[in-house]
Amino acid sequence: MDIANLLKRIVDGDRDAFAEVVETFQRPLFGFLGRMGLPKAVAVEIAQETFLRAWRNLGQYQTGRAEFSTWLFSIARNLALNELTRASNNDEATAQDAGAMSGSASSEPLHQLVRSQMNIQLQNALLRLPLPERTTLALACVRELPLAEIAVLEGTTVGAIKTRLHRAKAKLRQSLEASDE
Amino acid sequence: MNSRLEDLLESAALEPPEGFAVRVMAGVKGLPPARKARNAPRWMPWIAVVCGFVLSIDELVSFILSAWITVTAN
Repeated sequence: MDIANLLKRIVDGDRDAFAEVVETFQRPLFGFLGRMGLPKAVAVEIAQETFLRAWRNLGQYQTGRAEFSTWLFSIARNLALNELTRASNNDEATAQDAGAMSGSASSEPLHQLVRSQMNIQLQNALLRLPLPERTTLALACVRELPLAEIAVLEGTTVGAIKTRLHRAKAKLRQSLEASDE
Repeated sequence: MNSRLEDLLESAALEPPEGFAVRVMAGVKGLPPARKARNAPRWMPWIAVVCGFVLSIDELVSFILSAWITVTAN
């Protein structure tokens, strides 16, 4: 996708060109929000707000300064962090979500039940990660974002990002092994 | 374990709900059109520099003149 051409069409007044931007980035965006440990309903709100903010501030985006994906994910990252910080005092949303997942699993075949169980374990392990490590890990799973761009988003160096990633994966493995026992 | 972790992380991704893009575009329809931000022309700062230079020269000339007048008057 030629993002520069799409953006030019948008600022020239072609609103429909923005639909292509949404189509292209919605999956990676939801992937990121899911790995941040956000419940689906909250992720939908944040993803929608991300695209609306992107539309409102499109004039401020400068092609030479950052990749469009980096700019878009910086909006999503900030919104997700605000939401997680706001919700950090009450774990109701995540508990409700985990409950809903386990409830739906009861009527499923065994392999799906195991998969759902593992997803819940992963979700809990993700939620236990400190926010900088969780954000870095969630961003690193987005194919459109190379490590250098993640470093820009996180305001640190590529070396620090690699360290964070290594630490986050080690903690996740530890949590999952502990829940397996 | 590493590939298992990668697989699990892959499965932790959420899927966009049906018609999500349509919903977003409906929201966008209610917003004003996206416009390129108007940046100040590049020559703007140079005007400030030239004005500052002219003013400081003017000040300098006034100072030299008043000093010369004072010296010659005495």
